[in-house]
Amino acid sequence: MSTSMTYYLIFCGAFIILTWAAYIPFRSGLLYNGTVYCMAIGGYFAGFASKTLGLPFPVVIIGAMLVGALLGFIPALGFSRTSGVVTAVSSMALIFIIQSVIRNMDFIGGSRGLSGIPKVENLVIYTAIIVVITGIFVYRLDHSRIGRAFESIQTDPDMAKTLGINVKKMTILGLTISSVLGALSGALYAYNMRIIYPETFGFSLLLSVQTMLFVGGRYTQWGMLLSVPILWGLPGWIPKSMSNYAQIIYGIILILVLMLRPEGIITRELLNKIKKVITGKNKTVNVNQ
Amino acid sequence: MKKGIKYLAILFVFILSMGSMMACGGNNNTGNETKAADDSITADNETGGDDAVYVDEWEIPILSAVTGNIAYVGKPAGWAAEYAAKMINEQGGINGVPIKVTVYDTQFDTAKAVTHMSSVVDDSLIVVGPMDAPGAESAGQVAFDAGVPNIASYSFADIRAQYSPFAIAYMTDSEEGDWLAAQEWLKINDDIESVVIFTCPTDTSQMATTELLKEMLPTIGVEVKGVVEVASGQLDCGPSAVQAINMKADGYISVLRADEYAKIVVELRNRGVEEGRRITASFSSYSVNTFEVAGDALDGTYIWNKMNPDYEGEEWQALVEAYQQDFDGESPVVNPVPDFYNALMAIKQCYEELGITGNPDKAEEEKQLIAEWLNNSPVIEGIQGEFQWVDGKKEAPVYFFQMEGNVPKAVTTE
Repeated sequence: MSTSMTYYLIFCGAFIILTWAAYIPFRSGLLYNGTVYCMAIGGYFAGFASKTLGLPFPVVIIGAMLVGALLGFIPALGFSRTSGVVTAVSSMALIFIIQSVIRNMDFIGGSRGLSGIPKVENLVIYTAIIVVITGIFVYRLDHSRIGRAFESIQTDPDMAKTLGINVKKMTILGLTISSVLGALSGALYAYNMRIIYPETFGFSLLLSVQTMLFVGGRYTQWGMLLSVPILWGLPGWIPKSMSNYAQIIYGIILILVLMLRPEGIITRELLNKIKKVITGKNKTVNVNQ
Repeated sequence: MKKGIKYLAILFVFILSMGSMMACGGNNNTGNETKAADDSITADNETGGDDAVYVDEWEIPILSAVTGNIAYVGKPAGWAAEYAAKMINEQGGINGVPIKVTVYDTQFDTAKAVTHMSSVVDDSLIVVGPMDAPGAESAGQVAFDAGVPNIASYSFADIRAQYSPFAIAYMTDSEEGDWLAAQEWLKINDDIESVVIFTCPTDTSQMATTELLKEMLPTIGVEVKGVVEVASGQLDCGPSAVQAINMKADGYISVLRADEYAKIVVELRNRGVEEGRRITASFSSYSVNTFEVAGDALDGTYIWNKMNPDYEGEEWQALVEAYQQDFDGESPVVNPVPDFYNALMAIKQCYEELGITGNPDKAEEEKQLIAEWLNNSPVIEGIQGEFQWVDGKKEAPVYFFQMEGNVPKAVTTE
């Protein structure tokens, strides 16, 4: 496999997981911007643990997820009391906080970044395995009682309460799971880049993640599998003479997709239709059941 | 309807497949043909012998931030590489074979830099760029793993050592230049005994320079009264200027980039810093933007650069003329212009002295030879005087200027 393909696939894997991390809070009706914060935590933990502590890859990955869970759980306690725009705006603050904290921590490189993260052989294979496992987890979560509880909260939190769902606990759970996935993607990203900076985990990354989520389709977990490879590979698709306009093309695609398909490219309706085509049945099947 | 969905499904699969193939093929030089092996073999057969040049075009990828926050530096850098290639080709190419450069836009984004580097290392004997330090540090490991020499923005000695011998700095170390310039400024203005430093906390290079100045200035009897942090893209620099003035220092050192420095210098002058000589700035502020935005507020201030825009050499003057034609009469003022030009010329000298063939069977050996030659090069005649690489670090003159109005005039050369 070419070097280019290897890096591309690992980046795609990391961003698919990151987009799933943004997708899970969305399932319970929260536009949570703390995924990038958790990605930074996972990335820096992975960098520090592998470079300074010399821990092996599997231990680092598990450690990053645990640290992500812990540091994602704490703000989740607060965010469980918020909703809508308030969550979106206030969770953005986490990005500022984590960047400032990292810049002032010299033992992880401070503003100069953390370099010298060891190379992991066959990282692309590990990434593929992790993406598959994570995908199965998200699928099972979506189709479990918890997933249905998330959905009912998204539809109407008050109605969810009348159904006996503890909205606060469910929100905390969703945000914590999201944090774990965010940290996992950060660890993979750090291993792929082998040098990370506080600035990496900023608004442009957040914008990319939200774009991938909204373009792919935010009501199913499958949209990311389409939007991430396309959007990440976009600069390579554009003819050289038009490379200066890459950002404009990116924006136009986003606007067109959201105008023509407000729910994103992959919707539940589309999945149902595809399923019918594959199975040859005309009966409507709810993929979420 | 059913048929339509089938087509839609097929379309998705097609888009995915095409996306993967186009975006991450071994070489994604969109619009440029990759050298076909058959062509190379033909060339070899025609010229004959193991030492004959195997390729019929030297492809050199250039990674530069052509768009994004530092496009005002990245675009001229890419232009300089293309201009150098044109000059080399007019002189008969390298060992009689033409050179072709392809500029890849890293957008001042480390992930993009890594992506582009990964797309070119498999097919390249050498890569020039990324032109920014974070991009170079990130993409450098890709070049290092592939054993490809990389002339890029390796501003820090530890990073050069980490990727040695494949990491070669295209420009001199900024920190050293800042320290030299500060000493020169203090020598000329010996009544300045205390300073305030303006820096951007999110810029690794600026922070490293700030740390160096904080450490070194007291050793020559100059007190650092404080550091004022100016955010990248900060709109209102008035409060930062007031903060600095309130520290009651004799002078002000800025290591900021052009946009922020231009605002700071205007605010300082408007708020009571009457003598321009009390302000000095780093090479990263040396840009047309600074001169236009700050205007007369720059009068009397100092600034240093890694290049001299008024250099009188014939080769440089020809470059300036060509640059002015392509950039609506503007002159080149950013150092990557001579530095990228010099990098291409050094590659030509290197290939010719080593007798590089481009034969894929000897690629590993040749890449190692190129890296070692460049890492500790002989003295090379550049477009603005001689330079040399010592352990990957570039050693070349820096230039110090005092502004007359908003026009820089050379003061002295170190």
